[in-house]
Amino acid sequence: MHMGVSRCFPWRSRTSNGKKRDGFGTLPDNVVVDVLGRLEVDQLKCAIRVCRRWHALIATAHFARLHLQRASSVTVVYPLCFEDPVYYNVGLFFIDWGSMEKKPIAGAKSPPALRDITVDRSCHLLGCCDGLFILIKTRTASMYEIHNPVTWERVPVPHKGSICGFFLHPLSNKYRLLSYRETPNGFWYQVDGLGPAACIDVGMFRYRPREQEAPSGVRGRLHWMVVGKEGVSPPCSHSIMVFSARENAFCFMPHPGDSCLPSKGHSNMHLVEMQGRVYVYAIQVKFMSIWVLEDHASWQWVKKCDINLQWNLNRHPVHDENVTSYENYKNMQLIDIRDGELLLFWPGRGLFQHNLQSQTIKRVPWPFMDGFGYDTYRMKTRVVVAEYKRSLLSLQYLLSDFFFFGRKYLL
Amino acid sequence: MSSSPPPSSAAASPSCPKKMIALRSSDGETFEIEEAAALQSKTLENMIDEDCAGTPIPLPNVTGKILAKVVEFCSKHAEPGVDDESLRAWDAEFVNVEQATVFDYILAANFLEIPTLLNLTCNVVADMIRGKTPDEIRKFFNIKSIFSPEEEEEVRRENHWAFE
Repeated sequence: MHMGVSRCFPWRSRTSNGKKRDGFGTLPDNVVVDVLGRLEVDQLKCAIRVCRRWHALIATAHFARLHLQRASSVTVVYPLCFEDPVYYNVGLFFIDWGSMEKKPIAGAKSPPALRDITVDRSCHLLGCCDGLFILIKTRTASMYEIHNPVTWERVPVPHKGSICGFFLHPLSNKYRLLSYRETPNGFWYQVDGLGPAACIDVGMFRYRPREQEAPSGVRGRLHWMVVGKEGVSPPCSHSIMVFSARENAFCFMPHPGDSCLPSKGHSNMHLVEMQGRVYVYAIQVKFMSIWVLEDHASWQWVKKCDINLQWNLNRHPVHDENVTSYENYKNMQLIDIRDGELLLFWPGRGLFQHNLQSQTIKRVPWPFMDGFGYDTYRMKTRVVVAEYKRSLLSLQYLLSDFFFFGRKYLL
Repeated sequence: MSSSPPPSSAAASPSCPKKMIALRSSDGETFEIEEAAALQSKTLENMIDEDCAGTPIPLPNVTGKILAKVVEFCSKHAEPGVDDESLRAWDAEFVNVEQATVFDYILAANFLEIPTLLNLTCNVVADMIRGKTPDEIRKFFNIKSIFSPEEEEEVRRENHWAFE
């Protein structure tokens, strides 16, 4: 009876001779995936080389997505400094709030650090989805690129329209691009895959996204502030456009807060998708108000805070003396919100961290930008913000979407 | 011994009147576990719902040695009034065992569908992997299914970013 034990369970080798057994050999695939999915990208680079089985389990789109679900995201910022008609490209950075994870000691928190990610300087960042950046080539019109900095892959994606959304379709689990083309009657929208696959028409609408960005959406919905032809502002009731990936349809919604004066439009209002929430912030004279979308179905927005921007202007001089104090705050951008800390970008002055509870503000060093001198903080600087997670999603897995065209460009 | 009066019109409740569940390991050992603790296992939860006869539930995939520890784990996690920190410390001690035993726990937790134990033990193994080179990982876990030189070359070509 007892001899039968080792026969029934051959994987239980006798340990008397000191030899280790292959523990992983006893585990079913789903459990091995569970274990490996807990590792960070750098560690998975080692794991994928260990053996045939681990390679087979890791090198799949399924694993990459499972891994992404556990991963935490960082905010990447891409400052676009422009002085008509030229754009200055300074690089891509991610915000490291590393010190924030530790328990704070009596309010003392070290500021976040901005770390440089190397990216081709001939491209502008439009957005990021599941660790894949979507970029637009600055010199070539209608040439876009999808780039995964972990796998070093970049694939050109020529596209006739202006890409304004890059998302994972919740039902088909395929990546999709939403784009529009201007026509005499308005803007024609369509959705297509990453290669020359069939595209789906969405329809003709009067408005287009105000900024050149490609959000990836929150819970299957993408959001933008919009403008009409020739940059005309829509009425407040139609100032936010929402695209539902599932229904392949748009709807137009009002922005939170009070109605705007017809002359001003909503140029002081901005929308940003961050960490699974949708935020709208507005700058009115000396105040910044921030709302967060609590419930899409009822379109319920909740005011998160009102920040009094009446700071000591002398402490952070701007190099353009001709502006009035209202103009000073107008182009400020909300870049990140974490644990009651806001990160604000103030063109002309730099990066600031604002604590919601204590209402204190500190300047955050941004070595690369600071080194450029005041030119990079010129009034006309805009930062593109996106959520990034280091991802093993190799563009090879999406190869069927790329068809033949993309394959030869995979480096 | 006093004879207690029979339970008055005990409403036919779907759950077993007894609070202890009996389990039998693959090598014939029997263990008793409180129902509350047994419910930590989705597998046992399903079996309890179906069978109230009181006969020990056979678990052919788990040996007595491991089942004893699993019962201990579930009982501890079903205990009321244990604060998070001491439970974490207890868990850390629980998995402070040799590698082979951790894998046995994983298999048991997977078969019995005990999410807390599975999570704990998978994290332990993930920690064992962290910080090691591919070669060190192979040695540590005694992994045999390695690549042939041709396969290694193909992997290197397809995933060159992993070899930087």
